[in-house]
Amino acid sequence: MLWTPLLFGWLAPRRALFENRSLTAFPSLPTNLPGVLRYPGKFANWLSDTFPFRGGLIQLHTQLSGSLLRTSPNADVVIGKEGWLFYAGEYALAGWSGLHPFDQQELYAWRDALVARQKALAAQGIRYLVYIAPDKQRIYPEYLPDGYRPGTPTRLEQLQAVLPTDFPLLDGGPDLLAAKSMRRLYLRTDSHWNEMGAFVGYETVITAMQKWFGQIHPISMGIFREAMTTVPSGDLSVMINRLEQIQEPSWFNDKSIRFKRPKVIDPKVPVDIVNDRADLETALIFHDSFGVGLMPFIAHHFRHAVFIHHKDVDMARVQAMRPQVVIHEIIERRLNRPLEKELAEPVK
Amino acid sequence: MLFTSPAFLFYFLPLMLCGHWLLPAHWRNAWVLAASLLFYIVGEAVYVWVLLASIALNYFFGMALQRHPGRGVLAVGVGLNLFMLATFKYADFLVANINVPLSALGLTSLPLPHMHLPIGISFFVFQGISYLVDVYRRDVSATRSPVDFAMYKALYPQLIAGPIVRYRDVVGQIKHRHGDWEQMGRGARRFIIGLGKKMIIANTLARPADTIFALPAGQWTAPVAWLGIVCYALQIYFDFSGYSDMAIGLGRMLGFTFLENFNYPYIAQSVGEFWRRWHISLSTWFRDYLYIPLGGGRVSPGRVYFNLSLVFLLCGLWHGASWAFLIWGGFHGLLMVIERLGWGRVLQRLPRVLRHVYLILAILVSWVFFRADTLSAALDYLGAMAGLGGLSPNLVGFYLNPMVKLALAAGIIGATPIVPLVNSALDRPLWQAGFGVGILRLGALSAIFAMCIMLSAAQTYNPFIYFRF
Repeated sequence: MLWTPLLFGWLAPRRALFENRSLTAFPSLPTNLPGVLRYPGKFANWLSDTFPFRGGLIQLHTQLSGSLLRTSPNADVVIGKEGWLFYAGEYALAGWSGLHPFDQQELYAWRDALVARQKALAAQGIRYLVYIAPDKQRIYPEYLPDGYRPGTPTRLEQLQAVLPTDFPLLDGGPDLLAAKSMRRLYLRTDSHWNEMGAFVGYETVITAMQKWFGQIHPISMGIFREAMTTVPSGDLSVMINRLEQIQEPSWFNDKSIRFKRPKVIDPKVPVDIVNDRADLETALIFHDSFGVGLMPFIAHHFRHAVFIHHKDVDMARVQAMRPQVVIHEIIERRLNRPLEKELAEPVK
Repeated sequence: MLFTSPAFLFYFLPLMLCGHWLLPAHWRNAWVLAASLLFYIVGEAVYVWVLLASIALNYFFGMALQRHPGRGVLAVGVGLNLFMLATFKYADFLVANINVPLSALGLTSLPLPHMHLPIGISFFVFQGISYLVDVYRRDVSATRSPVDFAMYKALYPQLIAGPIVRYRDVVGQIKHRHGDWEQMGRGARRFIIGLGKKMIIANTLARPADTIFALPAGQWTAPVAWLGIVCYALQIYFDFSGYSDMAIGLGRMLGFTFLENFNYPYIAQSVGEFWRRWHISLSTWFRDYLYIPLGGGRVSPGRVYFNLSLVFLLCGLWHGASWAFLIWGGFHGLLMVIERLGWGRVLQRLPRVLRHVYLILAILVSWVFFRADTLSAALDYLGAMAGLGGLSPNLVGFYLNPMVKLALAAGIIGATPIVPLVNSALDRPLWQAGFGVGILRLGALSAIFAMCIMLSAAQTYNPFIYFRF
């Protein structure tokens, strides 16, 4: 067995894995003594990414773990019922089980950071709204394996308890839980919500903004019709190397409303959507990957909406654009991360 | 380089073994030395100079002791070895503790040196000291061959995680080694068992142990705390004994016979017996090079207790540069003293099962100090084990997926000598199925090895996931 890769590896077909990264390149030859000493380590790293039969072994491991042991080969992914996958990394499941609460210091630090942003924006006459997109397990706990239980307090519950009562923190959970009986709202093998989940999130945001901008109303969900389509499996499938084509509900609108959608989504490039026939003027939206689904719907209400894939409110951009409202979308599990990694912008 | 990495399993090991046995006998030590240095350089790169310095230091002091066996020479040689260890391993700890009174007095703290800790330094420094002392005591003659000595010191199977191989135990094998297929087979079998212990049991149990120990103190309920410490106790045993098995197996494939390092420590019936079964190469090192020179058991009882306490405190410190490890070592020393003070005699009168329960409880408590991040966390954890923990809902099921349950069961069985007993029972003429038993064993080993290869490959899978931003 040990000799197989060396002797027969050149015969092995290279099984491609979707890793979405460049595999370690063959190291260039060293030119000095420290380089000579570091070279074997670099060479070993290259071997780890390229040894023969790697793809087949990884896929075999995935299949055996999942089918024989009903255990995910990746500790950050939990295999649930009926093919559902859940993200367990970053304390996502532990937090939902109430096993990762804030300590006092960090809780008040989060509170103070969010309130500081609200005050800084209010000083410029700009509205601020924080939308928490729920983790998948909060909306679909019935698909988790037995043994997983929700717990309290979650970090979101703790934060809600200490923020001022009039602070505009929106928890997307209640509206999504109310809507799930009508439509599927999250992707089965992905950590994200689907288009309908994003739409429900959008409804929550626009409804909350009515207290500031009475003229806006959410679009009716009735313009969408559902159809099952075959799509590639999602990010959680990639993490366990279980790539397959699966059936997922997709939604098609009846064209009564034409949404403006970006042609390309690049996290490094802001998405700028201009809409001449909108109710409101300008919005600046800071978001993570969940915010991508919100783009066409929120932009529909603004003549100029800029979506910036950034964890925190960028005050320099706010100064430059002077929007009417700043929307700050945060996926719930980011509350588990250290504050300084999430809200790092200096705010006066 | 790790034994569990694809680079080691599929490239280094087969090429190394092939070269070793195809080369003429007088070239083999040089080949093993070159391969061992390469093995170390993969992980440590420029810090290979530390290993080379240790080799040179002990080679020349060994030669000096051979010619002039004086205590002064020995003291300098041992002192330089300890200085090397103190510099790389304990400098930060020493400075941090010096800064405590300095800060209290309002004085400027010393900057932490942030020394890099070369992997295996605790092992190869102790190995060097054992060589010098054995030469001094005339238990063994110093070798004149720098290649032979360097190979002994750098021998890759035992270089980074032991066992601590004494020169006198392998001197004959350094000069003459033979190899046959049966020996290779035995070595391979031992290596595969060690690989399985590490990758299938230890790595699986590491996850719930790490998750539970990382919980805030208020989340430790009694069932969760007990689950966490049992997982950790099995993790550390199978990790360490697995590495020792791999080292012994790899050594055997090269024609070396290393002494056993673990002998089912969790079936011991006292702490004294535990240390005759756990990390045997370390406990015997401390016995032969510290405890006995301090007088061993031949001095007054009070002095014996002092010696025991000192030895175990230093044993704790050897494991890591922190107060937690000192406390862990001190706890073991305290139990050793208590057993000598009369508790041992009481134990002997108890039913055997109670002796086992006592030992398991004592060891689990000691592992809490070893694993917890701080002393305060350790005390909170112990409180949770005693039922004084949080009121969170019992979420033991959160940590128990099918693989963890399997690893727990395999770990509890594997921590006892059940498997070797069954294995030797199968060889009895009663079964008259020798060939069938052989096939069964081969099948089991092949399945373990195949699973480990898959796990080794799976560790290299590292997709970039957009959602993490």
